[in-house]
Amino acid sequence: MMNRVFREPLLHFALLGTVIFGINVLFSDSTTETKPQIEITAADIEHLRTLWQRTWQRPPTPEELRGAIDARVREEILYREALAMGLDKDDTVVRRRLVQKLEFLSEDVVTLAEPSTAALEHYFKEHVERYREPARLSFAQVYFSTDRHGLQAEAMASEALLALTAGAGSPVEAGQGLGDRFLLDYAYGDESMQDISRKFGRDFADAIAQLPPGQWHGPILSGYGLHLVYIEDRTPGRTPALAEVRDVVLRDYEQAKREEAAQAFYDRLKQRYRIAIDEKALSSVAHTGLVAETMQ
Amino acid sequence: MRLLAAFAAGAAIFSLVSPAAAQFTPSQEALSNLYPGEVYSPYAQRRFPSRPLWGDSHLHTALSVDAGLFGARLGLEEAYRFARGEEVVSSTGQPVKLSRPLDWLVIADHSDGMGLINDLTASAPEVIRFKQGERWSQGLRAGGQTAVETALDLITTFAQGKIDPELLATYSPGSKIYASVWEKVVEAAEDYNDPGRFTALIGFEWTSLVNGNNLHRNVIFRDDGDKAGQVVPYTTQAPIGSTDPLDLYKWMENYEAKTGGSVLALAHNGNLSNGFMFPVDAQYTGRKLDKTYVQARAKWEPMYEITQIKGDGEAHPLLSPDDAFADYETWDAGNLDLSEAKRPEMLAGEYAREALKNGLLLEARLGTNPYKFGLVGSTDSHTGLTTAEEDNFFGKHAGSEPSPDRMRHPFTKTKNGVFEGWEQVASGLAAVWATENTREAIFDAMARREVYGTTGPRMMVRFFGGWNFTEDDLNSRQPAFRGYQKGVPMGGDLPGRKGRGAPIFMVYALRDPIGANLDRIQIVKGWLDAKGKTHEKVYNVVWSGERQPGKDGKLPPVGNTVDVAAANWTNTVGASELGTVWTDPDFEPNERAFYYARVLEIPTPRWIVYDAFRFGVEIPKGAKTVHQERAYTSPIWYRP
Repeated sequence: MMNRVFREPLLHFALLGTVIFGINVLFSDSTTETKPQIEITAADIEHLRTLWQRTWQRPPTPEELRGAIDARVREEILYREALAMGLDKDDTVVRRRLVQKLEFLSEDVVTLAEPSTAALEHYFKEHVERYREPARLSFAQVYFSTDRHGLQAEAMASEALLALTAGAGSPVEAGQGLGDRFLLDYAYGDESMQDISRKFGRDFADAIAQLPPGQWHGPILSGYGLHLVYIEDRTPGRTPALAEVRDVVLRDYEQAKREEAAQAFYDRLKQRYRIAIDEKALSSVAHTGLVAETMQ
Repeated sequence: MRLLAAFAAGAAIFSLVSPAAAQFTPSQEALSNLYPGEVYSPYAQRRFPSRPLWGDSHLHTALSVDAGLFGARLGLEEAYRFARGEEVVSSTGQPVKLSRPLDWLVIADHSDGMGLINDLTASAPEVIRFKQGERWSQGLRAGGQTAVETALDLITTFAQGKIDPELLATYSPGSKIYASVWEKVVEAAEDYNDPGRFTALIGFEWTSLVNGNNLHRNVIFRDDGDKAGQVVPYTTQAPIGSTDPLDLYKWMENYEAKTGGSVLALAHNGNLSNGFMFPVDAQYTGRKLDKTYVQARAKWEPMYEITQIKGDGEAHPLLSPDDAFADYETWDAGNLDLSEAKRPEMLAGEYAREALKNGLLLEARLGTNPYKFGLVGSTDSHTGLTTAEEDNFFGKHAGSEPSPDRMRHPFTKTKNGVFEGWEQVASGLAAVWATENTREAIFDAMARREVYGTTGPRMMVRFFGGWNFTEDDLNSRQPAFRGYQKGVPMGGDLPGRKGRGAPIFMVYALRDPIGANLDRIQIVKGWLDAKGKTHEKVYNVVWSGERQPGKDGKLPPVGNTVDVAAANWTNTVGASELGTVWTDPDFEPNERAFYYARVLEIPTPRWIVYDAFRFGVEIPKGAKTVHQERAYTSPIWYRP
């Protein structure tokens, strides 16, 4: 009876299987089945290729691609280990970076909507001052250096003014060659009030802004000394039509919308949370005057 | 009509001078066209720049990894608006406005950590697929408030992980919704570029840092977004990026070859490179300097940022012991992150004047001068605010925006040394003699080095070199006409020497209309002698008042009107303008040389004095309260 059991083919197969299994266990690395996988997919490879192409204007060589893949694998492994160790927690850098990504996301989505003409017009009207074109002046100026002449400068300027006012011929030509050498130009054509301000100083620009054209005036003080000024022509400031400045208005409008949306987005998210601030700790800090900063 | 003529003339100039980033030497024809002298009116058909355009060639916004992470909240739009003269609210909630707008700006955020660059794919921009999501697409198409609501809904759903997986795929790297930071940068520059009124040049910073040693360069594009947007800015992360400038130059070469555009590189903070910024024998990699290196450096780096918040880089007192003004806002404790302290032997590779001298040496040795650069200033501010005025200084980053104790916090401190908070420099600005306010004109002026840098104030400075200038030229109604006609402007090479005389320079400066008077103008000369040794000398060429140089050749100081307690000074000393024609008294025709002008203001208070006054706090012990601001022109070179 036992003999028949030992001669049973099923038993032989079972024993053979066990032997084979045993050999396998002995020779195999027991952790292969439980190792996590780092997969570099076709998409990943394509992505690395493209990044290379966009930087170097040519595809990578096989060695370079290999190098890029190795770097990617290394990055992935270290990244996973770092996550496993919780290195992303309590890290200001990581936190702010994530916040930045979220903000980008909300920005991108909101700028998809094209504003209506009415909305744009409304915005333009509300901010029309920003788009006003400044007044422009064409003028000539004669300079008297207070550095060089001190208190005499005023007398010299007044004398010159008398001569110019009394003289015949072209007023602008008459002024040329008078006064002291000066490194800014004698005459300016169609110069905006802002540019005049930048060159001569705000006070000078304000002083000549309303001078009547066609005669010499002065002495007028600038950042540099005294001047006699002759206004040839004035173009008043104007408000352009929306069509003329549409691009700029659209840009500013979109920027404003982006800010609104970012705020609205944040407000929406905030509604989901209860905020608790340790008031005791806050009040104990209040005396040192740092409160204003912490409340930003 | 005048404008049209000037514009056409400008275009003619551009076509004569190659737009590619080769070494610039305006041809004789180009120069001779500058003033045809055939029309009566001196203002018609004037083909040379008539006013300097003021800008900052180095600003960071919250997009820069380090800026945003230190609390900067201002983005590209606010930065442009601020530079154009609008009032904005700073990252710390304070309203701020410039005294005057700038004419141009380069926002150069760090290319590393533009992060989302890694999310690009090769495919053409795809239509945003979430529009297929019925509900959302309708909502978005409705426009107005509905669209905003829909968008918010979409985002919050995404945040909660409740999106349809197919739609989720559109948020993966490469989708339009993750617009790369670089795309944003280019777009914003296009939006705010307003030719004739305000120029937004496209740029980025290549942030090469080797063991804490600073080798940073800004890359500035001549081009519009259609070209700049075709590439991805170069980074420093291997394997695709690199910290070696030679690799950056390769990237720039590729960009120009592919797009037909033009770029240049602008280095800064040699003072924090621990000797590696201006190598003479070998690079930091060990690679010896050879023709390849000097030619590439000369080609791609036509300027150097000589002064900024992290220290003034013109000269060092140890390198220039005879220069009474060399020790100005000197940061020499160590490298950028103070991971290594400074040793004296490092200095020779760090400062602009020494580099200009060594450039002559390398030219003699290898045939090309790699350090033949023009000079500009900029801020490198990381607050989105380009502030370089002492009474309006918002610091290097959001943490150093005005507050009662910002002077006290160390800027950087390690066991190797310290950069104090009060040592931050309210500096600098770049003035460009461009023929008009456009990208092309400004870039071209930079490429031919017709630029100068200041430590913040906006003095107007002209510097011409030639062989036959006279006092008559200076006293003429339009000295600049004579300057361009008879010589070369700053940044140029002296015309060939015909007679037997020495070079003659015409220099004149007008103070900032709302700023301080001028003390003096100096000309700094550097030369290479027959034995291959470099030298330098600083000459006082014109100064205010009746001062006379003493027996030792030194000029008495101009006087100090600063009232520290009241944070004030008066223009009762100094002059509002200075000018002179100066001949080199020590000229040797066989010696290579360069000359640049340094214009000094009278003493004025540093920014900490305004802090102390406004906040009612003490100035830290040992902190410098008074200084003399300055302008540095690009050099003019002489070749035997």
